[in-house]
Amino acid sequence: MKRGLSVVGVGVVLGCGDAGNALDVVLAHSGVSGLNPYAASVGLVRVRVRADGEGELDATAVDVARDQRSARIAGYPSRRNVRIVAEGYDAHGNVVAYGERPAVSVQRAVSVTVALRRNLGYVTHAPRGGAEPPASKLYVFDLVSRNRVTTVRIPGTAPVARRISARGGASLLVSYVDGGQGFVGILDAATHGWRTIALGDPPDIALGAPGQPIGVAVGGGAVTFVDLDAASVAEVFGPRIGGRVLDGAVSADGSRAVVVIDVNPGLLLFDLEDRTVRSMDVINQPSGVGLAADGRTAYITSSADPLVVEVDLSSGEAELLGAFPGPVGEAAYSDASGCVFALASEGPFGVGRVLGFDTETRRAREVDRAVRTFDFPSGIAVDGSGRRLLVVATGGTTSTAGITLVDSAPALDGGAVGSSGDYPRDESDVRRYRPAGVAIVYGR
Amino acid sequence: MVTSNVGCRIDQDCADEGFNALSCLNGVCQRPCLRDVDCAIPAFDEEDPPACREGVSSVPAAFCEGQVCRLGCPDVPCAPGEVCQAARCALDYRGFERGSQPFVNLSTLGWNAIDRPAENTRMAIVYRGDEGCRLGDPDCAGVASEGERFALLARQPTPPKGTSVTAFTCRPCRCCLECLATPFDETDPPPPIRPASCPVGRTAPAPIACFDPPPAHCRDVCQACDACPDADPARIGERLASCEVAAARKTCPSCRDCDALLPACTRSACPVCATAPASLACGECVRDRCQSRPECRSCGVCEDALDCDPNDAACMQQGGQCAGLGVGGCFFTPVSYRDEQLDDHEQALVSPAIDLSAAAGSVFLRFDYVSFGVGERYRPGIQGRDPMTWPEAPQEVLLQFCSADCDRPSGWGTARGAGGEPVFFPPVDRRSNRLVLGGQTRLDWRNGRIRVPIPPERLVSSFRYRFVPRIGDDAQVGVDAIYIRSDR
Repeated sequence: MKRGLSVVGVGVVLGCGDAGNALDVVLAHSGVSGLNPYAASVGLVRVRVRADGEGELDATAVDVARDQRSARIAGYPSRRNVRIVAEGYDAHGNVVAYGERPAVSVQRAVSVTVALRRNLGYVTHAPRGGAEPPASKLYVFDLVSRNRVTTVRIPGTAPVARRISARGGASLLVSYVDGGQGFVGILDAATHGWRTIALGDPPDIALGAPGQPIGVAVGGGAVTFVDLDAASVAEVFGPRIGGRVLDGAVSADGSRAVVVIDVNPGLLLFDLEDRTVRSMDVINQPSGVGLAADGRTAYITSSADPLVVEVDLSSGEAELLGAFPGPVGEAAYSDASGCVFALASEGPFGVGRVLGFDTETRRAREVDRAVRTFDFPSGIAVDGSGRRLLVVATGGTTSTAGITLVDSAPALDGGAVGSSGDYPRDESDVRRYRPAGVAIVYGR
Repeated sequence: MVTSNVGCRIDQDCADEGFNALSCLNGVCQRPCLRDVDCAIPAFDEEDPPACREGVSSVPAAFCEGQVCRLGCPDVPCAPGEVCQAARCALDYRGFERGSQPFVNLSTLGWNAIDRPAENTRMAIVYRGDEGCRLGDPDCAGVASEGERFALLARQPTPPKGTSVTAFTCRPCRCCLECLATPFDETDPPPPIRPASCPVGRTAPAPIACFDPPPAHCRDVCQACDACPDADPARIGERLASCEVAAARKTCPSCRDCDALLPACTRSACPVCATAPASLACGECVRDRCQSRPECRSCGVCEDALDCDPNDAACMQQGGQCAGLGVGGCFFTPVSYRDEQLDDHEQALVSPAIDLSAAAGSVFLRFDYVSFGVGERYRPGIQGRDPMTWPEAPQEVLLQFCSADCDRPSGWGTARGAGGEPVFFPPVDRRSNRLVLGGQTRLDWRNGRIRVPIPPERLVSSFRYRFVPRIGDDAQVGVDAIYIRSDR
C-alpha cells in the first residue's frame, strides 16, 4: 500500500516538524438495561470514530469493532477545536449509537472520553386526567425500530411536562409544572436518575449543553439562567418577556441559545456565557427553529408565511433563503442532508407531513415526496448524526396519535423516507396517550 | 473515485492525491457510506470538464459494505459460478422478481420443490402494486427491499376439526349426532327429538365435544340409533368426537348392498386409498368410481333431498321417497377428518437446491425481512382439540439449513449465528411493530437484516435453506434480497 504523503504548497497538512499527535478516544457507555448500546438486541456491529478540526479537510476516521472500547487516531495534526464524533452502526448501516465531544484541543498526545449513547428519543405527553396522568411520564423510543424501550416517570406529586430538550449526551431537560410550581428536571442519560431545579415561574422550555454549566429556562413570562451542573438557579433575568415558547435550540458548545415565542419580537437570542438576552425580528410569526451543528447558523420557519430565514447567531445577520410550499410549525435541521425539516398540518383533520427545505439549493423538496405522519404532528427532533428524525403526532383523538421515523437522505436517493406507526398503548391505560414533544440524546 | 489503496492521515492527504471524493478512513483514502446510494456517482454531464466526460466512459459500480464503499461487479469480475447482483458478486441470489417470465410464483422460481405430505398454501410472492392500488392485497403489498416483489411468509392455521371424510349412516344416528352436538337452553329444554322430524341441518355437524350422557330430549333418537345395522368398523378413522364415532359405527338398511361392495371396489378402483385413505384423492375416487354404482345410488336419496330446491317438483318427489324410507333413510356422517395440521416441515418455505460445492472462503447467507403483526405468543393448534385448550408458544420465524435428505424433517438443522445462537426473527424487542402489509417503507426493510454463516460441512451441491413460520394466524413476514456470498 502506497504510504507517501504529498506536502503541497498551501495545502500543507503537517507543519514543519509536526509529526502529528496520538489521539486516543475512549468510548464510555451506560450499563443500564435499555440504555446500553452494546446490548445484543441493539445490533451494534462497529463504531466509527471521527476527528474533525476547524479546517476544511483535516478530518480523519477509524473503525473499531464492537468488542473494542477505544480507538487510536495516530498522527493527527495539532488543532485547537477538534470535534470528535463516534457513530455506532448496525448491519444495515443504521446509526444505533452516537457520541460526541466538541472543541477538543489536540496539541500533543491526548486521550478523551466520549459518552456513546444508544440512539433514543424521549417523548412527553399531552395532559389528561387519570390515576397515572400521561403528562407525568416520558416514553423512550429506539430510533431504528420505532419500538418503545422503556417508560420514565417525572419526579413529583402530579408533574405535567411541558417540553423536553437534550443537553448533548449528558441529559434530557424537562420543563414541567407540579402543583403550580415550575421545575426543570435533569434526567441523566446514562442512569435515568433525576435532579430538579425549582423555579419561580413555570418554564415552557429549558436549554443547555454539556461542558457549559449555565443553561436557560424560558416561560411564564420569565427568563431564568440555571446552573445545570449544580442543579440550582444562577440568575433570574430582570425584564419579563411574555409570550409562549414555540421552539428552541442551543448550540453544541453551549455558548448561545435561540428561542421562538408567539409574541413580538418572536425570536430571542441568549448568550449563555454573558447571560444576556437580545431579540430579533426576522420573520412574521416565527414558529420553529433548526440549528446547524456549527452552532452559529439557525434556520427560522414561520406559521404565517412559508419563508425560511437563515440567521447567523454570532453576527445577528439574517438572510431570506426561500420558501416552503406553505406555513409550517416546529422545525429541525439535518446537517447530513443540509435540509430544514418542518412540520405541516393541513386542513381540519390536521393531515400531517414533514416538509423539507434544502439550504444549499435553496429550494423546497417536492410536497408529493414529503413524509406523511399521523394527524396534527406536534414535535420533531433530529439525532446527533443528522440522518434520523423522530416526529410525534398528537392526533385528532387518542386513536390517531402516532410516531414517525424519518431517514433524511440526499436527493439522489429520492428524498427522505419515513416509517409511521400508531402510538403504543400504556400498560396502565386503555386509552392511548397523545404525544406532545420529543428530544433525542445528542440531538437537536 | 470510489476507493483507493492510498495511505493517508487526514482528508487533505486524499485531496492532495486528487481523490476529492474520498475521505481518510482507517489510514486509507476511501469513501464512507451507510447505504449503497452513498456510493453512487452521478453520471458526468455538460458541467463537468471535457477531460472527465471523454476519458471516462462509465461510472464504476459500487456498493456499501461495512460502511465503506467497495468496487463491485461487473467492473470487478465475479468468480466462475457467481452472479452479479446490485454490484455484489453472489454464489446465489433470490429476489423473487419476474424477470423475463410471463408470471411468477414460488413454484416457477423453484421454491418448495421437495416431497412433503402437505404444503403451506399461504406462502406467496407479492407485488408492490401500481400507484393508487389498495394496500394490503397480494398485488399491492408495498415496497420490497429490492425490486418490486418479495416473498410473504404466513403460517397455515390449524383447523379445530378440519375437512371431514363422510359415509352413510341411518337417520336416527344422524339425528342423534345432531342432537348431541347442538347446544340448548337447559332451563327450557326442547321436546324429545323424533326421527321423523330430523335431521334439520343440511350437513352433519362437526363438534369438538358432545353432550355425555345424552340429554333427555336426545335419548329416544339415540336409542333408535343403536338399533341400526353395524357398519364396517374399518371405516372409522381419526379425530372424531364421541358422538361422531357412535354415528360412524352404524349404517343404514338402504345402503347394505352399497356397504358390501365399497371395500372391494375401493381396493380395486382406488389404489391411492391404500396409502392415503384420508386424502382428497381417495375420497374423490371413491365417490366417482364406487359410490356412483347402482347399488349405492339409492343411498343418496335423502342427502339429495336435503340439497335440492324444496319448491322443485323433482325435489319434492325425492323428499317423498326419503320420507318413505323412514328410519331406513341414509344421511352422511363424518367417519374421519383429514390431517390438516401442518408440522414445521410442511409449513416451511424451502429454497431451491443451490450448488455451494465450489464455494471458497467464509460463506454467509444474508437477507432482509420486515414483520407485520408478529406479536409475543400464539397458539400453534392441535387439530381435534378444543382451541381454548391449545397451549401457547412464542412467535418466531426459524431459519434452517439442509445439505442432504431435505425431503425428510431429519435432514434439517437450525442455522446458528456467529456466536452459535439459533437464528430466529424478529428479535423479541422488535415485535409488535404495528406495521400492516403495504404500509412498510424502505426504512422498515432497513430495520431487519440477518447475516448467518453457512458452516463448511453444508457447502455441498444441493444445499437448501428454509424459513419456518411459527407465527400467529394473522401475522406475516416479508423476506427479500437473499444473498449467499463469500468473504473472499
